[in-house]
Amino acid sequence: MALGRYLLSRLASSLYVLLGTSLLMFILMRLAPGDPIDIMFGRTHSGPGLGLAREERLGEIREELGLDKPLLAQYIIWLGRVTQLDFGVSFRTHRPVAVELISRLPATVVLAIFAFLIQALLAVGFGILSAMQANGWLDHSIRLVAIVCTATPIFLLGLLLLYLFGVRLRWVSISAPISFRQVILPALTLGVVTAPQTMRVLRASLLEEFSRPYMIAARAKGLSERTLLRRHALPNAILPTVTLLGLSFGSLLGGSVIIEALFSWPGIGKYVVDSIYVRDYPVIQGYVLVTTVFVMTVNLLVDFLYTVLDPRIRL
Amino acid sequence: MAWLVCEIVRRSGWALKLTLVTAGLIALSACGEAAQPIATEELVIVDESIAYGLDPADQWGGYYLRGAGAAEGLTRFAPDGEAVPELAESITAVDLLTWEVKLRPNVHFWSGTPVDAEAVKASLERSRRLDAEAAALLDGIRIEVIDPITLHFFTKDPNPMLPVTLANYPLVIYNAASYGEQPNPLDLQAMDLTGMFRVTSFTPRQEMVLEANNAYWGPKPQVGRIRLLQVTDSQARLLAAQDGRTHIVGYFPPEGVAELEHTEGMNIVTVPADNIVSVYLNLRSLPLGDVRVRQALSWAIDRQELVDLANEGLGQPASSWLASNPAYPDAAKQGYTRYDFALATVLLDEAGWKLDSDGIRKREGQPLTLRLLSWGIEKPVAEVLQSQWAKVGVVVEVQHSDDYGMILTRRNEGNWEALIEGWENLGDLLTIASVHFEPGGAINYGGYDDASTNALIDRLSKTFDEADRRKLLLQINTRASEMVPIIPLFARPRITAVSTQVEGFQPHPRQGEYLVTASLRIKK
Repeated sequence: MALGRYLLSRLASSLYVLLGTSLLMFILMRLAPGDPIDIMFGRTHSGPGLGLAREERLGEIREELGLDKPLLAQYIIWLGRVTQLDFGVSFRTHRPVAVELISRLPATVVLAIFAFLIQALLAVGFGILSAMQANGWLDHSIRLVAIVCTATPIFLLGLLLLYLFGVRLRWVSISAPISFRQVILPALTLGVVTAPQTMRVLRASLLEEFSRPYMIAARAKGLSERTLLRRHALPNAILPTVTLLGLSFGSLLGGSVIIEALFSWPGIGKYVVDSIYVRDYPVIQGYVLVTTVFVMTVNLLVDFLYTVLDPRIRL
Repeated sequence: MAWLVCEIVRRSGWALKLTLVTAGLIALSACGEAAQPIATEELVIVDESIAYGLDPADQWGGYYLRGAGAAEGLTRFAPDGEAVPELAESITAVDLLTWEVKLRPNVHFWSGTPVDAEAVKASLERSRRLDAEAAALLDGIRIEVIDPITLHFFTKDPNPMLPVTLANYPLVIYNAASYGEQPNPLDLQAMDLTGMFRVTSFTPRQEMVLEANNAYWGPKPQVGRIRLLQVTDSQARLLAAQDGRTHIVGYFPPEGVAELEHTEGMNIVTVPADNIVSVYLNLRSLPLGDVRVRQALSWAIDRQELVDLANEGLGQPASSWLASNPAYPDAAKQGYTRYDFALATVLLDEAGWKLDSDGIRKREGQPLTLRLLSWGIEKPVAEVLQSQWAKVGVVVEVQHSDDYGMILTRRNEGNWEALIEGWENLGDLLTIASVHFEPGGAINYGGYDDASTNALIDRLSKTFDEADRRKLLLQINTRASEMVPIIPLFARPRITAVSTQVEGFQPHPRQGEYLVTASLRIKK
């Protein structure tokens, strides 16, 4: 019963968040310089029409897309459609936004899951290792590598991996169609770059736990280091790490522009950035709604996970 | 080394073991199914972008489908820039307001439907209705079917450029009945074109697979299958050219040319593009209202140095607006054929902009300052110009953005003196001259209005004789060089990496639009 009430209250607050986010994005996009009609149909690209599309035709297009209406009216119309799960039609591709986003989401989700797994694995594995060997040569080495990974631009790391595995070793093909196998390199790049931050948080939390009096007492009772870690230190130290991983996963679900462009991964990130450049309002608004839902869902899951990891926490 | 690994494993316990096992699994999954070598009959092409959709009347559809060898028009652009018949057998002017198009006999769409006059008219009318660019190209043109292989195009005003207009990609011919009334970008079954290759599979913006059209009316394609892939990132395209599994890489990055020269099995093919990178000047601004200042700025540019520094030495310096058009070799001898620093300083002195002790030219205490807008890949060009113009005492504030909307807003607000863009100078030169130089022209950003230029363009619009048209265009080119509404800089090359396994690759100023041709062949 309490859980049901909690879910209901989260759902209600989510609606407010969605409404606020969509309104904010709606206003911000229209305040941004650049007119979508001018950018897409007018004078910006070197085409045979050479921007000859007549002003009246551009006016017609503006009317067809509903951009001639007052801002508030545009928002209300859009909101009315969204309640029926109609996100409108992309100015650029003329396809329904829902179809466009759904067609790219699987690739984004697959990449996000793989990158998340690699990130979590590296962060937890090396975080524990580093804490267990604190101030030893292994700890120093891990932290040095972590700093190098954090400082390496994601584009550079991706390019190096692509060169190594695509050109030198020929394990992957740059000109291959998208397949399950092709996800490894982009996921590895994302995972390696995002892992160090989480790893350092886990290491710091573990070291804090190791120094607590109850751990000293447990050690004095003769418990092994492995038992101390598994039964006592890790469950207490893992919560901040879980929070960070949850945030990171939400962000990965939003797509990664650089990685998608570099590895020709057909995710949502590159598509949305291209849409922002041409002010494709329906796509941007649809994307913001979808990612907001993702982030809120992940946050909810993380909250549930807290209760599993630490029974003292109640929803 | 082995000791080190054993030591790490021994001291690390389960955490590292788990990490190592998983990393190993990832590596195994990566190399588990080694990349298959490509079939010799399959040509693999990587390009910066491929189509959004399969409908030629949908945005840019005609461009990508023509580039893939799937679509054709009544006419096409030959590599020398001239429009030549394609699906049309001939195009002749009947009178000042009428053109007659005779279609090739026995041409069929992929479905077997004949490409007759009714089908051509239906295709053009559908494109006119659905595509703003096609509507602009066919503005004021009425199409009438005379007989199954003859159409008449009636123009509102004399239009000597109709054969050129029909070569543009928004006017490629397709079976309109098959596509239906509305844009139909993803229906592979609805695709019905005439090209030498037919699309058999398509994922928007990712991959297009085409197979040879054995019923093609022209020379039969010599490759059985083409796989066209989109690789957006320029560095990834450079790597694709090096991985030994790609035959052709389009939009090859200039910075990768030197590197690829050390790669066995790939050649670089360059051709001047169909446009010239130019500086568009705002003639409404105070300093640039004076033609002497505009001329001085143009003389003060060392174009070869610009090409060397801003484009890796790749490109052809352009002395005039028409300079890189292969059909007008004389244009390369017109305009700013040299770097003349001394003349630039004299002109600026004459205009009253005197060099001050701080190295900056001033008039009535005001420094000669230009706000130079650039976007996308033009940033290095802007920076080199800034440096070159500083030598003659002109202060340049480079305002760069990757977001064209920002540039557009500044331009529309008039907050600029100069703007770098690249516009085409090949094709319908009447229209191109008109939009550049006539008052109200879509690309006449700076408000250029010159009676002499306007009169020349007006005469050009009524001239059907090819030789007279050429003379008039060269006169317009000369006048534009004198009045300098734009400063031509250089023709950026189209660079393509082509495998030595491939024969019959044809360089074209519009390479993206004419990438796949029937002559392409893979050596056995």
